[in-house]
Amino acid sequence: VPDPLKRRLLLPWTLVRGWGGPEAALILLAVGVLARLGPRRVPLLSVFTAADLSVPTAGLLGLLCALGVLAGTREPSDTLTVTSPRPVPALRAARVLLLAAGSVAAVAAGPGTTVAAAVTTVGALTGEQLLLAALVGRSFSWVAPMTHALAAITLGATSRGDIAIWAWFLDSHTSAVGTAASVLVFLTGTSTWAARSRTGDSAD
Amino acid sequence: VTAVPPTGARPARGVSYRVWRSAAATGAPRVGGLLLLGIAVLTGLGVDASAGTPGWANPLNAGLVTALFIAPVVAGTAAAQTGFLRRHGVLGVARTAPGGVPRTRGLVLLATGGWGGLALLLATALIVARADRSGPFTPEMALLPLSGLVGVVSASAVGTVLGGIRDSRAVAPLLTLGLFTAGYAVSFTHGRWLTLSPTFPATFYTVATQPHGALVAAQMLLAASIAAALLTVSGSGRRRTAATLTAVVVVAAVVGVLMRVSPAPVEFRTAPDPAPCVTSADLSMCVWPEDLTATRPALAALTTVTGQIGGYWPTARRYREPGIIRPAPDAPVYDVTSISSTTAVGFVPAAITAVLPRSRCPADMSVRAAENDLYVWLEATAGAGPTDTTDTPVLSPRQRRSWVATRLAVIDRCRTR
Repeated sequence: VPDPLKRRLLLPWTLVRGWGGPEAALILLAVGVLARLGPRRVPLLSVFTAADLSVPTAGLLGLLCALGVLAGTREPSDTLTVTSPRPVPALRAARVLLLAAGSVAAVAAGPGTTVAAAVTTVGALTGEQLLLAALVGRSFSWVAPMTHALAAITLGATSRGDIAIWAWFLDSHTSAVGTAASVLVFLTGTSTWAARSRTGDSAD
Repeated sequence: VTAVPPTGARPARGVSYRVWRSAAATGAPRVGGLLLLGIAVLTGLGVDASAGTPGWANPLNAGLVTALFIAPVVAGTAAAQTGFLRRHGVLGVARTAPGGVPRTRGLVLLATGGWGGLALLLATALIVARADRSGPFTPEMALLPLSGLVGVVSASAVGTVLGGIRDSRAVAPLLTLGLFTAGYAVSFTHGRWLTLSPTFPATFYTVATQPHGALVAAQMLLAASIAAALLTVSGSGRRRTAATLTAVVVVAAVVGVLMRVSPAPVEFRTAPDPAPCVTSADLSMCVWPEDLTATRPALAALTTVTGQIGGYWPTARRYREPGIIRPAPDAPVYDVTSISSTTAVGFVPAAITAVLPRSRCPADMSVRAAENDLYVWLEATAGAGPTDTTDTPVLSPRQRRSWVATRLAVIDRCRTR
């Protein structure tokens, strides 16, 4: 018979494990280490321009954070969430917010990275992923932030000395509008994802 | 159990359009495909191709660069879809179907590769449509989008095979990241490693150059061979052994070819024989037909520069653009292929480079300083550089003659050493 302490910890641990907590924590830990010890900047391709352009690595770490959030939004059983009498959407939204906060902290751990820059990159890419997860399921939702981020680093600065408007989350000089756009995308994604709990995740 | 009487109809061998459309409109292929189309429009409209010289090579090259992210995403969606089918037992069911697992895998390959190819062609078409296409077009330039398509379909094959082996959800995003990182990193390499770069983002084609046909063809063959090898390795039976051996031999042969061809992603186009030459005063230059309109300001700049240095150094009377051989194979090269200026001032730097004596000791600091002094002086006197500079002090004609002669002597000493 397990002792009372173990018994008390068993339920939360089972829940966290079922929700993909350990995998998410591992990915966010890796993001923190990369932000701290990885290269400071990543060079961008110079198509049609001779200008050397690079962006802070932090601008791309949002992609790994989105994958971390994806790992942490797993449901051990869709049937339970669909039939649950409790307000599951709030719980799902709380989990996402917690993971997003952890992601922002991990990205902002890098030297010289502001919280606003971390919010911009994490908010945009995580929000896109949650939005797609709500529409088609978690299995294929990584495609949205991945396509956006890879396209941005490839051609987001083509023919110009600055970053294209659709690749705003890469920009080191974060504007208030960019951060607000990212927060808006994140809130839309989170609320849509949370509301989906009543319909299940058939694509998984 | 009731036995189904044979109907005599042979099982379908290929993939019909209806089946392909159905596969492309579900699951990961649809999600990835629609997103890729959206991002293809953004990138296609975002690239400002007007920065390049007129012609097809630069916009087609920018279109090829989009394959750098399209191919990994296609590989990831193929892996996700095959993994999804495997997890849910559909691949197991497919084993009992007439076409077996290879047909199901082929269906995923065609569905994801089709979306990826469509996105690549859409981005390329948008870039080309907005570029100045009045310049040259050669068959080698058409190899660029073809190379992108081969890369996308090959990446789809890699994803299909990996997804069939490992059905973990982590495989698809990790494969996408891995392929992109590898392709992106190799784009920044130099020398022989550059032959493995599937795209040429830093390459700028002029009116005289075109994509290196042999290199691009070998790269396409390599990508197709690797994809074919992976597809056959994951099959079964004697055919697998034979196909694997063939694929290995082909891959080895192509790598051998790649090690021999020049790693430079550009080569000269076939020059007209003889090239048209234009004469002004006592100077003439032989040019590519597309550059005939630029000869007047180019010759004016050349006249100014030769007039300045002609009294100190014997200068040539006939010049040629890069890649032009006949009728002046030994004439100095006057490279105006990437200059879009309509005034003589814009051609002065190129004219100075063509006229100034070439040193053979580029590491010698005194020679480099002498070359730089002469360059700055010529640029300033031709009105193309800063007029107020400490490098070109105001001197009397006699002092100037001595100043120039000293520097030319330094360069000449190096040439005769």
